Amino acid sequence: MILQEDILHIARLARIALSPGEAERYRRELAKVLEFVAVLEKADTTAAEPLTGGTGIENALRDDSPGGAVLGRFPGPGLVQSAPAHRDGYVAVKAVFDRT
Amino acid sequence: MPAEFPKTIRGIREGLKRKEFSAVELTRAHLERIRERDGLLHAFLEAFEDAAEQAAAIDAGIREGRTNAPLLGVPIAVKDNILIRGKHASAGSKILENYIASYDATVIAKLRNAGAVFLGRTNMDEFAMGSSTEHSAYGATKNPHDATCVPGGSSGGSAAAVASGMAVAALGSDTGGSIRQPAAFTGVVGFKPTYGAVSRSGLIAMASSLDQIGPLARSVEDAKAVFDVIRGKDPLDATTVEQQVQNSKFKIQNFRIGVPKEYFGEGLDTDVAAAVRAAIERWQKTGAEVREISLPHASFGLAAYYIVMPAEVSANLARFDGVRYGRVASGAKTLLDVYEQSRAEGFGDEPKRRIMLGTFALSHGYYDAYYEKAQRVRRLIRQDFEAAFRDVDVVVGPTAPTPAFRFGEKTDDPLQMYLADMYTVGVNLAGLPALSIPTGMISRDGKELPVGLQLIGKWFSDDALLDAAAAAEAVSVHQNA
Repeated sequence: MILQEDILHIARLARIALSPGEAERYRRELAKVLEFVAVLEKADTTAAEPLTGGTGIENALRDDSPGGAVLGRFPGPGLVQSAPAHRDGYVAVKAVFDRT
Repeated sequence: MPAEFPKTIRGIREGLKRKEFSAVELTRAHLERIRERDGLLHAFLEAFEDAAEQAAAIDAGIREGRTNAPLLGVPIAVKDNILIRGKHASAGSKILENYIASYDATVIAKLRNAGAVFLGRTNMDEFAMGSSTEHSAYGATKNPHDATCVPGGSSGGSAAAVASGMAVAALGSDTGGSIRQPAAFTGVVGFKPTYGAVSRSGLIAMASSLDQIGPLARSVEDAKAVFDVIRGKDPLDATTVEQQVQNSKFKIQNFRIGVPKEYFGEGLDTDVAAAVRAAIERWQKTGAEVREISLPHASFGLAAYYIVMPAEVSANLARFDGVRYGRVASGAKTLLDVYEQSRAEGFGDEPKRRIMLGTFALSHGYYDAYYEKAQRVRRLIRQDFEAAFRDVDVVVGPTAPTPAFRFGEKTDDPLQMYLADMYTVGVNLAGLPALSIPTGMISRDGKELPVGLQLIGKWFSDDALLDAAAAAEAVSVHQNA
């Protein structure tokens, strides 16, 4: 049973602003999906370790240098230009801490 | 497909080598086809202005004797979530409407080296979330077989482009069926390689343990031609594995086909079931052995997927914050406003739903019951396939439970849309290779709609799977739009 306050909490965690009307709509929709996925409770997972997917490869490393195949496609000036606000080659952001 | 040009990759390469036509003529013919048909179909978000220029460079190479590239002059469409340097990539979302890629995806660099021509970027459900392309922030794509029906999703634009002859092949991405299901709905071949076979570097990430890039094409041979170029270990994607290309000749005699009984239960359209069973029977008549198998945890697949995938989505879409790329909300006063309002304005409903679902599943107090539980069920699903592949060489069944549905039919209830993925999600959870091949048409309201047969192979058996699919294709009945 998911409540309005749960949705508002989740939306704050997910950094998405919701209007009150939207919050109620998402609450209903999420409640339905959560009801659907509750079927997993019926699965006997006592002998099953979590599987995070992938290929089972561990410690796949490479040299920490932009050489060879990497160099040809190294992100260039375009990356900073992609930011909505930038100045002198830096991405511009609002103050992280408020002065109060 | 323009009448006077070859329809296959092999035909195109040979024709270009023999100078029967030029790469520019071929590309221009496809651009013309896009102009003729895409006003209605809306498969493309953008046809690239420099496509003819790309083709001209291929022609210059041909004049100098460089005619061996495996995809020489082949016009290819690219899904909007795969980065091409200097081109827009929006993942079907408004939050990236101004974003221009600053680098090539690895698959793009490889295709370019192989002589391919990029025609344009194709429409998709926003951030690959959907099974109909109705969730694109840029309008829906129509099914070339019936304009009142969806092409499937999320690679609906790529599927429609290939099915209607606007492109010879296309790239899509598949997280829970997004290549295979639209391939089934539009009557083309759609292949999702084994997880780790193709680099995800330059693919706008949806769910990192499930995503794979793969080809859509009009034949298994063409899908394989594209796959052979894009596959391979990549230092930029630590989850990639070098595959040994298997060259053993496929033998139908004693080839073991497994048909899971769980794939023919509730929810499956009777005409689809009949078409798929008929396909399996035709294949059996050529000498293959058919066995009924069981995947006991198949019915948990959708539930596990709709926890694992949104959880990964909530992490992967956190980067769209109004600061790094694309669109920022106007009037935001604080940093928190920038985040909350940019994301509220830029994301559509489905991404918001899935981000919130994932955030919930990962949050304190719910992590064990939801996310960890789903990961344990994922292990069971994988084990089901491990057991199956001890007894059979390939697992087959319907790709989708119904043929292409009508616009608006499933958009009122998100859950209805999710059910479209019931046969495809288990494959991604387990990391297996799978493809959909067209296997006949069924009649719906006076129109003929395609049906897809799904073939699932063992881990890293992509070559053997493609060989088996070619054998199935040879005895199938299908038509192109």
